[in-house]
Amino acid sequence: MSATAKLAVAGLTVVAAGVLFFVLQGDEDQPQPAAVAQTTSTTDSGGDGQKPEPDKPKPEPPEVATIEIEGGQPVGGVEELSFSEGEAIRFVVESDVAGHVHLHGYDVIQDVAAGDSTEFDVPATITGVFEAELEDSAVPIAEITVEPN
Amino acid sequence: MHSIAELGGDLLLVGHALVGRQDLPLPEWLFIYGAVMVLIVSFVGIAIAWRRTLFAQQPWRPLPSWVSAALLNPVVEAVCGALGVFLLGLVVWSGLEGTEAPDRNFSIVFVFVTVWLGFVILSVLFGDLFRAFNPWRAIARAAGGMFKLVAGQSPPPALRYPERFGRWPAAVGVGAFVWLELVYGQSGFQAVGLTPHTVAVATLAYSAYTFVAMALFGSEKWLERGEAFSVYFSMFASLAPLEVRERRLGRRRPLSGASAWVGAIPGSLALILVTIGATTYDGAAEGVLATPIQSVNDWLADAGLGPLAVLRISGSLFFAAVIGFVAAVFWAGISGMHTVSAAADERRDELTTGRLAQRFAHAFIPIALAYLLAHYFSLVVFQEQAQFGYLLSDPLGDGSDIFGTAANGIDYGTLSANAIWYVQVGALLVGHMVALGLGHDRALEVYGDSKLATRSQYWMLAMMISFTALGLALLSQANQ
Repeated sequence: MSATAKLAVAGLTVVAAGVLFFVLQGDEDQPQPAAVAQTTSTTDSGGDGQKPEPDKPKPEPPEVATIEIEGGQPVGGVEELSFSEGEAIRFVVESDVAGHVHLHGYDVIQDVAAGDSTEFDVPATITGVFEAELEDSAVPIAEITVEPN
Repeated sequence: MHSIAELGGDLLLVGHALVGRQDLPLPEWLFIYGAVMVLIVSFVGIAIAWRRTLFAQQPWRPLPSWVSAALLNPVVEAVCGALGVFLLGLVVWSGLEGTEAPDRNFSIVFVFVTVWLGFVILSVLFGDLFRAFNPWRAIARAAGGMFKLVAGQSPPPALRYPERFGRWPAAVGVGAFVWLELVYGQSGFQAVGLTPHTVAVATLAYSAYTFVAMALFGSEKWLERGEAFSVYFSMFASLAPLEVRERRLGRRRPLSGASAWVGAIPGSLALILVTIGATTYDGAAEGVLATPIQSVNDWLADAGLGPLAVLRISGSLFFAAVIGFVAAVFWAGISGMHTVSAAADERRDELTTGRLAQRFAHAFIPIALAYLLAHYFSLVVFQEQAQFGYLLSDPLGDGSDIFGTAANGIDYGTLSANAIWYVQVGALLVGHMVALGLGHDRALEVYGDSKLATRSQYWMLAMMISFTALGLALLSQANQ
């Protein structure tokens, strides 16, 4: 193979790499609007006729997860919560012991009194996986994933 | 009492215990992209392969002499050495006297992130900088100078270093260091394994061991062969475009130092494989190996062992197994290459599997680098903010504010998840390309310009693709 041909192959590869990158990246973005469109259409048809599953088309109300702490331990183990960038990270911590709840990464600390609860409502600006723990005993209570848009 | 299931459910490795944020797994599309690109790059690499060796010679051109004079003089050397000794002392002092909270104490971030990962990056860019800052070398040189002043001659080493040991002591040392970080240092449920105090004690123990070894074998010899940090960073420095020869700084072709670094020195390959294996273990322990590790944990706990003993024994077993696995993949590839040459080449006796392994080992240094970048890039970016922020001003975590930066924390917004993903995939792809190039170049040298070179490279290619695919797979797994 001549030097020019090699250069051409290398150049074409770089172009192919770029094109492939944007094609695949675009694919990933598409499902979201597609899924929304589908949900709306099911809602419409559900309104016209009789749908056997009425619970499905409901646009899930943002239910706030509650993490219960009993004896300084999260009931049911470390809670896994997932949010999208731009939403709000929302969860409630109910504890039978007093303490500080620390949401790492965002560095938000909220106090909770014994037998009381505290609600977190933090704008999800940073992507990644974060831990929430009882600061004094360093017990992890939740693993919070913030997915990029 | 807490069950072992709770205990193992949230293993945090030291790096992750430091940070309040972990990387998200690679999204599926980027994983597919990376995998497809690996294949395309590999085939294009074969198609446009060069016919003449590019890296067999190591041309080196000195920089202007004033550069060498400015950078390589006794004053600079003394200042750098003194700084190294001061920082070593600071690690021990903050470890012994400071807070036990790993993320608020200077020692852990400094040793495991700033030095261990930072000097890898610096070495690749600028050459063997660690040599200048190496505190053990500085102390040994000062002691040697003093000895010379008093006795009028340099102290003769007590023993001749056995050359067949090669770099094995360093490979074992690096393995032990990473074991301390990833296995001994894993924190289970309410049990922090690696405290700043442990780091300080380990630093003192390692210093004592280093001084004894340097006294026995001569300090320069031990720094070249046995001192784990010197040898580890010199491995990455072999990829750098800068090199000091005969006290002059010069430029060379990047990557061209790698094969000379391996040379014929035993243990070099072991160090490369330990490095790749350790990073693989760190990634796999939270992903694909999480369930098997949990089973072994349960089994050991049933046998009546305490929680920390369970974590450390099962961690050690899997750590050794992963390094063994990496070595096995490498050995399988080299054996395949051997069959190619043994079948057709009259030099079959000369090119044993062992010799081939030694001659192709250097091509895997870029893969070791790519693994490190892919796994720890974000850790370095975030933790260095802590290092040069609050840890600089408050090394003990006792509320002092020496430089007025104690309030500067980590801004986790500096890198988006997307940016981290692109760096990860980019590092693996570039590492793959470079490794292929170095392998091909060496094949030309070993087999001459023949079909054999290409045929032997199919095995190399298979190995490289395996390692890059493994790297991608590890990054695409969700932490468990």
